[in-house]
Amino acid sequence: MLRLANDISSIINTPIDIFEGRLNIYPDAEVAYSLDKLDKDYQGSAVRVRRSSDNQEQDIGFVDNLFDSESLEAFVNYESDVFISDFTNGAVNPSSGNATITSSQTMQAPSTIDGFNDAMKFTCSSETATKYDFRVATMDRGQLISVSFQYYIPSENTIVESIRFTDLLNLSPATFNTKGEWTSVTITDKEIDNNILRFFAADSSGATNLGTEVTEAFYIRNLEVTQSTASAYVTTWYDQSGNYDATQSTASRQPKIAVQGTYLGYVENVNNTGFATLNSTYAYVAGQRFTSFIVGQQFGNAVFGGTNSGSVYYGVSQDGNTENSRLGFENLSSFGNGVSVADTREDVASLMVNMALLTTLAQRSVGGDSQTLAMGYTSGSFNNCRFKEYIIYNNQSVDRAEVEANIMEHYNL
Amino acid sequence: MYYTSTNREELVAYNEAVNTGEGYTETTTEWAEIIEHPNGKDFAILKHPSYEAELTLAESLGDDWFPDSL
Repeated sequence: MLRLANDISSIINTPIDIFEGRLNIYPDAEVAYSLDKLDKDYQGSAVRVRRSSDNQEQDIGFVDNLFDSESLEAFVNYESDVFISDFTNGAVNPSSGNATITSSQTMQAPSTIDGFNDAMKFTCSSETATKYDFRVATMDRGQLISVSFQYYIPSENTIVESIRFTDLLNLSPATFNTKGEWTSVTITDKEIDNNILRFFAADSSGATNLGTEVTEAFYIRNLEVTQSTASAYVTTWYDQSGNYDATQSTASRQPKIAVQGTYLGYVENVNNTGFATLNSTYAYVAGQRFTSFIVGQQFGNAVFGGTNSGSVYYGVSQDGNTENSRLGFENLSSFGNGVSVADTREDVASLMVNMALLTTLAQRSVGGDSQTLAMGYTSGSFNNCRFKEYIIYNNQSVDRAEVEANIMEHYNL
Repeated sequence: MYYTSTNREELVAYNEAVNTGEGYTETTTEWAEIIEHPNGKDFAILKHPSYEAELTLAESLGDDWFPDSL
């Protein structure tokens, strides 16, 4: 009797996972990309991402059937060394990290001043320059960095009386002007607005334009630069149907999923590099009817139903252009958040200006070649699109209204 | 920003220099792909923000580079 009671107690205390994903309720999808879990039996990850700070990659999965944004941000916000000085050994190059110090002026290490022999002496020395700086390169622009160092400005200086930073946003004070003694500086988590971090020689007012033929110096020791945030780019969006993962192996074409260490909540194409998108080998076969459900948003001209050919597409969003939103597809019907919409770019644009569900029933034009799936346009500048989910059924028998209702409830659309 | 050249090999060398410097691993294999102008003579590659080269720099590529545009 005691054993039976224990068994019953065990059952009562065990949480029952009642999760039923869309692929459990509406099976047989050909492709199913989502940041949230779609199948209770799916054991894989949602995406694989590349960290911008050091190009390391990691799979990110789910927690409670939702995207594991905490793991993503923990991965992205890894603190990485950009520069650690090794002036003692005569080097103005780093002993670790991936940066170098560069300067058009004169640097000497090790140098001795005021009791320390592990300093780097920076001397203004140009007959033509009016600004004098040394710089740490290369920085990951837009990320948060921390800088610590000690500086010494000789008391006898009459021109170079401070050191000033111009590449860090919201830094106050940006000028350091103690003379005649070693002074420590710690700058924490400031956004770098350049791909270099410059230490300018400045006058007593902080001005960096000192005129030509300045020959005064200042000293730096124990310089450390670390990066505490990064962006993350999607290299693979795993297909939860198990058929066709969407990938992008070219770094400049990979879409973003985290910026400055923060999860975006969607996968966002990068539009400043033509062709930027994820591609899969799923084929829109000529004459094959399909139903696609795309949860996405535009932030400019966008193609949601992209293919590997720039001239075959559906779901084009472009304000002010009333041409059809598709080319190379036929027998097409479009629905925005479950409501029928016309086949114009303006209709798609007005819908997708917010995160929305775009449903398309169509087929690749008969007589046309098969085209494979691309999440965005594969040429030019129609990649201003974000995605949360992208599901395709190779039929039109799936209950469209039910699937739409399920998706809209999940995303609160 | 793009580097352009009529010598495709120059851009290949730039891309390889970035690849080496960045140390891409696993599923990421390269920085960028070289874009060929429809005239078959001009080539371009996206500039990496951290890597400079003595090549012609263009702010953007005109529509003539993408005749397939919508």
